[in-house]
Amino acid sequence: MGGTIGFDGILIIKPDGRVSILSGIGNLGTESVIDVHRVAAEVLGVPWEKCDITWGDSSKNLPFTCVSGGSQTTHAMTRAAHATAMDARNKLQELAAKKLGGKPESYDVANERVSRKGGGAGMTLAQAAKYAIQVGGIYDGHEVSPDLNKVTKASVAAIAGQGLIAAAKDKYPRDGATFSYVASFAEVEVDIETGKYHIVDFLASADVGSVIHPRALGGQVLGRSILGIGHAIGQKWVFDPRYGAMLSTRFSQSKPPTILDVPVNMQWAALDIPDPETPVGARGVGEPPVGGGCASILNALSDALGDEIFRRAPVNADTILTSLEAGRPMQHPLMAHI
Amino acid sequence: MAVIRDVMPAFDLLQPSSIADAQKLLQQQGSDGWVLAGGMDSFDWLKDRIKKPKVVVDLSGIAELKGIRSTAEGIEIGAMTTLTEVVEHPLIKEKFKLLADGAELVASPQIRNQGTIGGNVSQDARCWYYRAGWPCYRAGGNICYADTPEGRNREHAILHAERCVAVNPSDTAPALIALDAKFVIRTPKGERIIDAEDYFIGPDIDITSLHILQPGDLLTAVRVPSTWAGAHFYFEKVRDRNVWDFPLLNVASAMIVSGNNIERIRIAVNGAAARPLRLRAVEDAVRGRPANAATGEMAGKLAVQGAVPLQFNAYKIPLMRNLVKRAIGGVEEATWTS
Repeated sequence: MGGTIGFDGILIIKPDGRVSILSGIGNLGTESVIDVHRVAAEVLGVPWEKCDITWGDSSKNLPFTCVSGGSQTTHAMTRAAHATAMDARNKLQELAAKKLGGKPESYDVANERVSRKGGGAGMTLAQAAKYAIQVGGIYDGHEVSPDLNKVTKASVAAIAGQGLIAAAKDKYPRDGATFSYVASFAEVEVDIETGKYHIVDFLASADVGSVIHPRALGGQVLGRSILGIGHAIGQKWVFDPRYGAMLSTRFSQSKPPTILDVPVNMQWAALDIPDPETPVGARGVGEPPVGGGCASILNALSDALGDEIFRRAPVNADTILTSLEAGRPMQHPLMAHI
Repeated sequence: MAVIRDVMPAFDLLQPSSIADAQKLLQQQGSDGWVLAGGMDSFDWLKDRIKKPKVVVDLSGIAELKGIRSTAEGIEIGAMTTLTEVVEHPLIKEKFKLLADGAELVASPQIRNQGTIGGNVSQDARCWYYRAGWPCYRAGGNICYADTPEGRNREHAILHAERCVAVNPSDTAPALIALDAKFVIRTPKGERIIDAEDYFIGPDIDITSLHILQPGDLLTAVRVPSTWAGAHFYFEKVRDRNVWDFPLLNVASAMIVSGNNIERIRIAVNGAAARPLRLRAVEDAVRGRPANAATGEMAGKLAVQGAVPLQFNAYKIPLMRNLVKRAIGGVEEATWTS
């Protein structure tokens, strides 16, 4: 699922010069709903503070968007946002050429204006928006590109005439498949008399292409590492095999990690190497830190205790002490849900 | 169709404001009445619709049951005093830190804010099957689902099991036993003061209850004598996560040491049996000996004599041995070669 492409974007340059961006991304708290659209401000030469994001309700005329899952959002929707911003840029150039003469390519978009390269005639984005409404057609949403998804077309139809409307599908090429990677490192200290251990140090290093929003990325990498760590340190189902009954029916019984189980020393890093197969260079993340979170703890425990103590997660005092006491692995290798 | 588990069955809620009124109501209701302290145990039974009492007697409005006061003999703690109040009270922190330490390891801060000391010592077993409402011995039936080759008994008893193998889950109980606390009970026949260790019973006495309260009885206070005030205390709780979880095992001890020799000691362990165990044989064996690791090792081995492991709880034998060793000899860095 990660690495999807081909979604749409919509933005409006309003007659007051502000840029209204319609975001169809679900807000899980990852901040992707907002941060993927940053590229619009860059491409259009508009300060980020002048961009308004509308999100959160499909009645708000939003474009066709990927699902919020499968580590795909940042990749798919930065592509769509870039395509939409480029559509806006092209329309600005065309409108400028139409009004002021010359070819569209001889105009530049920067500093909230579209103006002749090398200085000369131009207009503000606010003026361009008003002109777009005058011209109509494809410039203010009364006509749309046929390759847009029908959801996007319906949304554009509902907002036609509000300004210069850009609506585009991500048609950028992509050679191969798209994946993100996380390398995780952990140090543990084991109390061999009680079988309790704690995580002394932890680092997860992510290769997710260009970093769009450092704090949000850090939240994803550390947060999802905790999910993986949880699987190593105690999260489980408890299941009675004779009667086929689930015994752990509440969170307190399936033991997800708590804030006091989070390593005190926990760091993240990112390579920030742009992905060459996508215009903004950014890939998604979400799932990748989980496996590393779990495996790094288990590897650290193996390094501390030897390879003959456990064969499955979670690893708790019972597993450690029983094997240490017996001098050989005591946990039945294929038995889980205890 | 999913079984709805979160709607409490209807009951009459009675909210007396005095001990005398509470007693009257409890005696009237007999076994139809359910005593509600902080609710941290009761709500699980009620929400899972396993227990369906006709009448719930809520003690939260009874001021006489709350508070910590100095007495000639030591301190008296009202049964409805919250665990947080016990943890934070200056007298307890100053003289009976063992109890503050044990109480502070109970569950989580939110639970301690609401849970009471009376409730903590009177709480019911957490065996998977018993809590899920299966018709076992403890529930009045004639089978144990945990004491089988496949039963999920990782958390269950290694000592004094008799048909039922559930354990007592309290952290304050062993601390109170080590401090030689007395429990004050109002019964229809008058007030009784009993030693802490006699409050708790095993399946040999009553397989359906972990404590001696009968319908109509009310635990009103816990009295801690000054006898062990300021002694050398040790409390350790081993559990899966660092918060919330019940003990796999815990140990509480109060030791008077002169020179380096143990003049006298009271030591108790919980999580090993259906009641918290006062380790009298260990107390007798270490009297007069130096408080060091060698004595601790001897004591630990003695403490687990006669332990019988179930399929998944053999780790409790080295764990109990090591906790007793630490209580007496302290914690040392282990020599380890992998």
